[in-house]
Order: sequence, then C-alpha cells, then structure tokens
Amino acid sequence: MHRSPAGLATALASLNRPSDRAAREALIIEGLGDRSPAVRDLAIAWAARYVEPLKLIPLVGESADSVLRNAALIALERQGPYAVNSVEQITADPDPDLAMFACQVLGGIGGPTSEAPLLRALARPEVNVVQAAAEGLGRLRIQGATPALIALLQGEPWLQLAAADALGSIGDRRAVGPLLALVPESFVAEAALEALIRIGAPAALATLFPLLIDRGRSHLRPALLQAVAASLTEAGPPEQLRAMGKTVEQDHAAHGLWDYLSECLSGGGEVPAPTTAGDAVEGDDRSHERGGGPLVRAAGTVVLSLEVSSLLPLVVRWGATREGAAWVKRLAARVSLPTETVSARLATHPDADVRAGCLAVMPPQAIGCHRLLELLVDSELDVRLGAIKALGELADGEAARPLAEKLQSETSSERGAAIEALARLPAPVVELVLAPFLAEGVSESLLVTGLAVVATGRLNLMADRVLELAGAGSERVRRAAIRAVAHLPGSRSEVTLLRALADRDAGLQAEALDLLVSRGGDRVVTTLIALLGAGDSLRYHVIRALGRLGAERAAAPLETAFPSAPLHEQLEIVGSLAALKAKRSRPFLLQCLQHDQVEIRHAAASALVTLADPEDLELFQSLAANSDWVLRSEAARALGQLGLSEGRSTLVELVRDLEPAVARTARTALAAHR
Amino acid sequence: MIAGTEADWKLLTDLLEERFGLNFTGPRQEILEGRLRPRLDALRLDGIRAYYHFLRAHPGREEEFGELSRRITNNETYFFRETAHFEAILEHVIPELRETRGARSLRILCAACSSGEEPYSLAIRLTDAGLELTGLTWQIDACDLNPIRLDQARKATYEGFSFRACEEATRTRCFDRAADGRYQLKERYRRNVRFFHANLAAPFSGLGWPSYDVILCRNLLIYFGEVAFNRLICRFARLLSEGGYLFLGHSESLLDRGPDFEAVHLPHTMAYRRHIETI
Repeated sequence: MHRSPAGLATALASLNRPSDRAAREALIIEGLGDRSPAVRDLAIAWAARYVEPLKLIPLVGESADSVLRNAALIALERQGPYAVNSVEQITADPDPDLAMFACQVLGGIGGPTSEAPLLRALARPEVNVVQAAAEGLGRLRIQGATPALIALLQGEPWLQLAAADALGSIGDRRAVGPLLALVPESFVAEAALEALIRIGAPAALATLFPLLIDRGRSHLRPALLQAVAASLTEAGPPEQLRAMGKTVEQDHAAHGLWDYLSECLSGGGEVPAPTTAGDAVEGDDRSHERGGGPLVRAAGTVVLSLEVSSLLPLVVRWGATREGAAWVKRLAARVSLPTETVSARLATHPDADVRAGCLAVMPPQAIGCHRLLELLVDSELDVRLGAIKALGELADGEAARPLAEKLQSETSSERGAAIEALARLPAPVVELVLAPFLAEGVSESLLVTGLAVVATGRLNLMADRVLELAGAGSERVRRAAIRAVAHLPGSRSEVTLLRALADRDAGLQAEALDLLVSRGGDRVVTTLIALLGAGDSLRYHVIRALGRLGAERAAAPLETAFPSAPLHEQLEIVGSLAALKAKRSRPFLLQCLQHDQVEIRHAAASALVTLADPEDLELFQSLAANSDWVLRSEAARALGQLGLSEGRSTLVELVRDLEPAVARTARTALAAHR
Repeated sequence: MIAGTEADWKLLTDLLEERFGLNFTGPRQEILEGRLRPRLDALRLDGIRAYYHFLRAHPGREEEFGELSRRITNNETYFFRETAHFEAILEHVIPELRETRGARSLRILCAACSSGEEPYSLAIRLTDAGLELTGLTWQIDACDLNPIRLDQARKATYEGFSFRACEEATRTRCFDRAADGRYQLKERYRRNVRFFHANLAAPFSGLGWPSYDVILCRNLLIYFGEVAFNRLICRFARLLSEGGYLFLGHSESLLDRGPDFEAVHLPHTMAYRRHIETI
C-alpha cells in the first residue's frame, strides 16, 4: 500500500492505547518495507522508539525483501545501546545471515561488552560471519582482538582483507610484522599497506623503503609511498635517514624514485577529493589541489625527512598556498632542516612560488632581516606579502621605516600586512615612524592607518593624541581611535570608551561596548547595569555584554529587567544568565520554563543545562519526558554533562527518540558517559 | 566552526525551510555554516541559537531574512543551460498548445530565474524562431527570491562566465559590448521578459494567480525540503493552465509526487503535463 509520511504519522499517533500496541507494531513494520523513502524514514524512527530489538532482528534476516531488511538494520542501529544486548546474543544464532547482520550492527552500536561475542563469531566456520565480525571489531577498535585478527591474515583472501582493514583501524603495532609479511607479493599487499599507513610504525621503514626504490613495484608505489611517509612520523636514526636520502638523490633515472617523488610533488597522480553540490556553487573545489592531497604530503614527508635537497623547492612551493603552508610548516619544524643554508637558497629561487613558500614556512631568522628587506621589492605580490609578514615575526627595528613606507602602498593587501607587521615591532621605533601618520592636519586615511597600527599592536604610545582623535568629526577616525584607546591603560581611556556608548553612530556604540567588555573591570559592570534602564537599541547589546563580562552581580538587575523587556531582549537576558552561571538565577530560570513563549522556555532549559549539578537529575529526567523535543534534547545534554549512572537509563531511552536531533544528542551524551 | 548544538541547528534549519523552502540538513549544513558566519560576525552573535533568536524575535528580523536570502540562495546559472528544454518548448509544446490557445499570448514562467540568463536564453530562442511573424505572441515572467539578482537581471549586462555554454556567434548577434567590457543584451530580446520578486516557499509568494502555459523551475527543487517541495508542486499545478507543461532540472523528478501531473517523454528530455481532469 502506498502511503504518505503524514498519513502514516497520523495513523501511528492514533494508535496510542496499550491495547493498540500490536496494531501499531504491524503498521510500523509495514512502513519499514514501504517503497517511499520518506515513509520508510518515518517508520524507522517509530521502529527505533517502539519496536523491541528482538522483533526487529528477525526482519534483518528477511532475505527476500532487502528494503525491509535494511530499514530494520537502520532501526536497530538507531536504538543504539538499548539494542546492544539483544544484538550481541544474535551473533551466536545458528542462522548465519542473522549472525552476520548482528555483527554488522554491533560494529556501529557496540561497546566493550561486544568484544566477547564478536570474538566468538570470529571463530565460526561461516566466512561471511567471520568477515562481519572482523569488520565489527575493527570499527569498535578493540585492541584485544589483535591476536585473533593476525591469525586471520593466514586465512582465505576475503578474510585477509577484512582482518588487514580491522588491524589498520585498531592501530596496534603488534600487527606490523604480520602485515609486512604480506607485502609485496600477496593478494592483499595493498590492503596491508593501507593498514600500515594507519598504524604508522617506524619499524616498518627498513622493509618498506627498499620496496619503494624497487622500480618493479611501481603498481604499489602510491601505497608504499604513503606507508613509508607514515613510518617517518617519528624521527628515525639520522644516519639511516641520510643514507636513504642519498639513495633517492642517486635514483635519478627514468622511473626512479626521484622521478616519482618529483611527479607526486607536482600534483601528478593525485585523486581529486569529491566535492558536494554546494561546493561547486560558492566554495572552491580547487582547495584540495591547492593544499596538496595525501600523495603530495607523503612525498613531502619523505623529501624533508630524508633531506633530499634537490627536491626541496618542490615541497616548499606548496607553502605558497594557505592550505599547503600549514602542513609544510609543521613538517619543516619537525624534521629540523639545516635552515640557514636552505632558506637562503629557497628565498632567492627563480620560481616565485618557491620564494613565497619559503617565506611562509621557514623561520624568518633563518632567512635574515637583510634578505627579507630585499624581498620587499620583489616583482611578485605574494613574495612581497610574505616578506612583510616575516619581518613582523622577526620584530627587528631595522624594518620599521621600510614597513612604514608599505603603509602607503598602492595595494590594500600590502597595507594591511604592513599594519600587522609594524604592530609587532618594539614600541619606541614604531612611535618614531608613526608620528607623521598621527600628526595634525594629515589626511583621514593616514590617521586611520596610524591608529590601526596602534590598535593592532595594543601599543601604549601617543596616548594624548589617540584620545583626542576619539572625538574627531569623522566616523572612520573615531572608530579607529576607540579601537586604539581600548588598549590604553588608565581611567581616561575607559571614560572615552564609555562616552562612545553615546556616539551618534549606532555601529560605533556597539563596537565601543565590545571593547569595554574585552577590557573588563568593575566600573564597566556598574555602568552597564545602569544602562539597563535605558530604553534604546543599545540595551540589547548591553544585556549580552553583561553576560560576557561574567559578573555575577549583574544577575539580579537582569532578572529585574526581564518582565518589561521585549521578547528579543528577554531571550538575551536568559542567555546572559546562562553565561553568568549564577546559581541564584536557578529559581528564575525554572519559572521561565513555564513561560508562555516557547523560545523563552527553550532558552531557559539551555541556561539550566549550564548550571546543572547532580541535584538537578530529577529536573532533567522530567524534561526528558516533555512533549517538546527541544526540552528533551536539552535534557539529554544535561544528563551527558552530569555523567551520573542514575541518568543512563533515561539517555538510553532518549537514544530511541522519534526526533533524530534528540536521539543524536543522547547518543553523544552516552558516549561521554563511557 | 560556529557554536551550536544539534537542537540549535535543527531549530534554525527548520525555520529556514519554513521560510524559504530550502533544506539545509545533512551535508548541506556545512554549506549553510559557511554562509552564515559573516552574518553572525556582523551582528556580533556568538552562536547558532543566538542567531535563531534574532530571526525569531529581533525587531530587525525581516531585514535579516532579506540579507539571509541573498546569501543562501543558489545563483548558479548561465546562458543556454540545458537547452533541450528550450528545443522541446519550440518543437513540441508550442505546436501542441497553439491548437488549444487560440489567439491569446503564450505565457511562460521562469521560477527562480536568478540573474536572468534562463529567461533571456528562452527569449532569444523564441525571438529567433520568428513566432511573432506567424501570429503567436508570448510573454515570459521571471521571478526570484534574491532582489540583488533581480536587479542584475533587469540590467541584462553579463560577463564571461555567464556565456560558458553560449556560442560566440550568438553572443555577438544578441549582445552589445558595453564600455566596461561586459555584454548588454539587445532590447529586442528583453522587451517580452518581466521580472518580479517572489518567495516560492511562502504562502503569499508574490506569484499571484495568472495562468501559465509553461513553467520552468530548474535546479531549485533539489534544495527544497519535503514539505516545501510538495507545496510548490501544488502551487505550480494551480498556476498552469489545463495541459500546461512543467520543466524541471535533469536531476529532479515528480515520481511518486501525487496526481496533478503526468510525465511526458519528449525526444531529448522529459516534462510534466498538468492533468486536464484535475482542473
């Protein structure tokens, strides 16, 4: 019968008497086999909530109807811990199909108690059951299964594949030797290498490196390269690594390893990452290529770890992209390159990407101030930007004047980078070069730039002038000035910021409030509490600011302001009380749980979660039974946070909630319980 | 990553689905997150729940919904995308409707037209086919949720990426090169196209109650949730005249979607014709 999701929901909701149970179950099971995915989804949610695991399990063995079988499997997985015990028993069922599906389900929902039944299933004669048990043990990452899985590596090929994959997931280094024994000749060599990549054992290097060099093994090269790279994640003996590096340098002929690494580092052979439909619209689906995929990173690891200096430029050029810079920098720091010689060579490399990459990933001390200053006039913008940034990191006063000149550069990115860099230099030299920017009568853009340096560097310089500019006629200058004022010590700066709360520009008022909050201080709290009495649009921001300041004494005035506030401010008040974590607000928040506005009830429940302590167990157990799913979800969060054994059964119930968001929250909370 | 619990995200995505029909659950939540971040920064909000509260209760919520609509709508479009539909309209739909329409103008709706490439592509095909010389007049109405895109559509000025599927000869013939290097569609292809703002998911969507012969709604329904999808299909059924045609994107289908339409298999594509007996 074809039914709509709404029709099924209505029919199920009408079957709510105890005597309707059998009819409801029948309807749910019928829905599990429905051809409409929407109807099936609804039936799965109801099955997870209302059908006992022992009734679902036979459906899993339903070989004639794969739709019904899969829906029952999903429902069992949805039941999570509630179903674990029953499913564990089924792993011993004489019907091999039932036992196999039970092992599969356990892989998704099982826990420590699943080890014994899965190990017993691993010893069964049926290949499909053993395979499912091995996969389940791998998904649950059960260390105790390592010896049994190693034994399976001697079994038939399908079981070898499952065992290798499971051992990779578990990551136990006891498996390294047996996995290496399968490389390179066996049917499962690639699977064994995949497992070794995930385990990442230095002990594998001596075996794997000669195989990587061997041109006859080129079909295994991608996996071998990644496995070698994974084994290099811990530094090996330097002599051994250097010897290997020399071997690579010499293996320069066609199809040699040098050639292969060079090809990988140029992006060849990389499989593009899948992109979603949305990425294709506004995201940039080239970010994977720009950052380098697993093969590029593996080749980079090998080149840097083994110090293959002729290939270094190809690694460093990946640093020219934001995505690549992160991993190259991490790697370069780990392998401690002979940086000065190398950096000098790379910073003057003819390829602009290599120069830019070098500036992004090498320590600026290794490149040196003199060379960095030369690169400020490089023909490529990315190189100039890299040099500006590196000079900031170096914080050498010699760079102050050239960087100040960059403040007036034609390109906005250079101006921005120069502000950041100059702000990191010692205050006395900055003051010298900045004075002309903050002088009387200069243009608005010079004033704003100068103030930006002071604000970015949180510098205490030219304080009188900065305070004076906070009263300038131009909104741009006033805004830049209050940002600079925020970091000046003393009461004059605080008063200036408080005055800015009454600025004629509403955006500037809100920013002044933010700056005051980041300064903190008791006087600010007092002022903001007084501002709660003001009826303008700033009050909304003041309420939130009081929450961010974390001053418990703000709780009472916030509660007092609540009754006369409009809804959007009431929501902010409840949110701020949550941020204050003031125990005194508990009765007020409990009252809010009865409020006639649903959003207030939700916000109050969320705030009570932040205040939750063991005495609240009963409160959250009662919220777990509320008809409003948001309150049930908050109850799940709180019970997870409390971690009390008395709350576990409620969470197990919530894992089967009809509302998937509640079920997922409860499942996360239960995981925290373990 | 924006701070938010499972419940926070569900509240927000339910609200967006209710308001715009767009579904942002599952992997699409990540896309939504990327588009929301600048809004949270601008409003100085620290999490999804705060943003949800803003949209629910703040006096500035309507402006924010407007801002949001500009960010979360998919504006992917270009000239002569999925041209099989245009050919089907010319070669099969118009000859068939001509017999039943009599002298009245052919009325076409392009729903979710973004910056206008779709309705203008169709206008170019219809003009070039010389329909008016044979006595058939036509009118294209085009709507979108995003007012910025509608402004662009009205200006009818385009850049390179819009022409990725447009032949050079067609571009030269139908467009004038503007001083800024962009291309302006010639007046004769613009005069029968009207644009208006409409939220297809809203009860009072701005569509009004005209009677269209053809509706194109391509590559929109894939972003719609179940409820909004069904509601919009019902609305299209009401907006189409008897025997009128609905064209969806190639990856969209009305399979198992109720009784208002029948699938029609045309030589290079398929369409949905409104059942005459339901009128």
